[in-house]
Amino acid sequence: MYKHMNKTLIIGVGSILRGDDGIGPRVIDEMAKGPLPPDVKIEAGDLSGMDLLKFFPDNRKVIIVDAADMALAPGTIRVFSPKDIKGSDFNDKFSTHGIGLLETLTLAGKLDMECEITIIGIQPENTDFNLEISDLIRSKIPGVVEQIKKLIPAFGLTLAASALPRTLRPWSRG
Amino acid sequence: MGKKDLNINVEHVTRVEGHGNIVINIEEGKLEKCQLEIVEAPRFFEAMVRERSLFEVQHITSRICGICATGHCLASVKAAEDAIGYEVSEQSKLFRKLLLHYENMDSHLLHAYFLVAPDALGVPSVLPLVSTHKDVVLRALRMKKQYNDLCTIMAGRHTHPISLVPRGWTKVPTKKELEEMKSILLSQVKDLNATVDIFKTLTLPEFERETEYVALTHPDEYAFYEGDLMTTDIDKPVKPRDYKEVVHEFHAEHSTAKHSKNKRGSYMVGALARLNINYDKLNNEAKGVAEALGFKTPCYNTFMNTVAQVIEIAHCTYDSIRIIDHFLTKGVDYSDVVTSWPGNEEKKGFKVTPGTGVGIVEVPRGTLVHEYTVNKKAIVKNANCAIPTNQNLSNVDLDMKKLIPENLDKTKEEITLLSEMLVRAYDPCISCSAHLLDVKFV
Repeated sequence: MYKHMNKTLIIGVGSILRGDDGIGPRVIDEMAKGPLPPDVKIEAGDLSGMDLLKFFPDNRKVIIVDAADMALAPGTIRVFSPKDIKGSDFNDKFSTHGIGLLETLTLAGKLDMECEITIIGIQPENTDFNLEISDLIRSKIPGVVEQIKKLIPAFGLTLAASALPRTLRPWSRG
Repeated sequence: MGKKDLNINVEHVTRVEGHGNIVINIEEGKLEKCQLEIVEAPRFFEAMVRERSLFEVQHITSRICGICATGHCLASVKAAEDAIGYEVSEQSKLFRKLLLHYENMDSHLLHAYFLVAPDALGVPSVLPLVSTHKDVVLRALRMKKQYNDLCTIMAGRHTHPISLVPRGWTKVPTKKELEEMKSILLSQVKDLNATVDIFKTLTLPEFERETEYVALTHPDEYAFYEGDLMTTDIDKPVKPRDYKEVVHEFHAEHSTAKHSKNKRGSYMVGALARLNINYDKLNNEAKGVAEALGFKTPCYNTFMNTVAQVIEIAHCTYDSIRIIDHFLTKGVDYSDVVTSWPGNEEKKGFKVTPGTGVGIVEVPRGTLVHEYTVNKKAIVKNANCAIPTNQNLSNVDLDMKKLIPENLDKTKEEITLLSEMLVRAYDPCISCSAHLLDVKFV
């Protein structure tokens, strides 16, 4: 009936030219080394916001891994849903690059796209032009991979519901 | 209307790094200051490719931009091939042209629908359109997804192409993939016509400022992938290697981004510049769209750049079908593929001589130049990259200096909107790689 019912996509967003901004693609590189359950796909790149939108209707669940400025200590990892963060009013129409992840999530919400979106944000230490990722952020990669696996039942790992933000706890989903 | 004082400062600080400010200062009805300030961290791409092999730099440069990844990749492989004197096959060239068409269509569509259409429909952004013009938003997203699908078929994935390398392609499309691409393109004709209908109703500000227009030109085709550098101020095009005869880069005081000019104070690159130079090379379908949209060359209205983009979407759609039909009729030479890196045996076939190579392509926002100097081991010793948005910056300033005084009778809000629309018309890429998700928890 619903052919996309169980599909999950993990997307690592960011530029590997910008130091810790490359954490998303690097997590995906790490995941690509191990076996993936059927119906779980991975994608990585310096994807502009609108390029992410196309993935939502084709998947039941999308997990976005991205360096995020959450005003927290570098290396802090947070798992949250679009409902947990302030949407964008799309006011920066200066450049197509102004249409970022935040704007895309806001638009997806407006369009009622039926896809469960989870964001794993990692507070970067340094996003200057640099092909290398900082040691601190590199050390977080295994933890992020673990976190992702726990979010996908097919990996057979479980996560205590209390570890999830409110909007992602099973009982708070309609 | 009395003489007025007016200060406008449009700040775009939502970008973590790299943003543009419009600054307008009018005193007693006289324009004192008016410019686009670019506050941007200096670019280090040039340094990043230094000491790297010519055969891998495209993987770095394609990450300069998430929107023009193919454009940077192509400029890069062309510069690499030019540096070592390598001539790719006609088949490889045609497939490169096809991929470049896809990227240009993708980017133009995003700009026209998501940045310019809201102005035309009188709403502040694309968000309110979801309620009032949902069909328009869904059409734009449908078209965009199809362009991405086309890129994925050609290049392995949509952003950051992997099968595109110096010397050719590591993979070429199967007959089934060619048929699939053709079917996607044919299915777009209806949406394309609907897009033209929307832009027919669009009212753009009346404004004219003749400037120098710069674009690649080619005797046999509407130039995107190859050709010589032409401008409306010169009689004879210059070879890519002599690009510095036209592109004079300099640093402006009010901006950290490189500016460019030729003999005048500024020039313009992009869809409007390409049409002003190469209009006669458009296919008939695109010329039909140009007529339907009331576009005539020479066109000196910067705001028409978006209309020019829509015309180019039509050209690229039908030219893509032409290229695919060529391969469906003549067949694809599947032996014409290369490995990611040249093997020892292959290396004997070409000799790397130390020197400089230049690759120029027309990307969505205009003429993109990559230049590499390599040693005999094919290691990049020096690089230069002239980005379209930077080349346009001086032209934006001069446009504003004419536009604002012509509209002093308008309100501050109207002048602000007008100047924002002007900047948007250039489809500027203010900072290519700054897109850290800025999170504020509710």
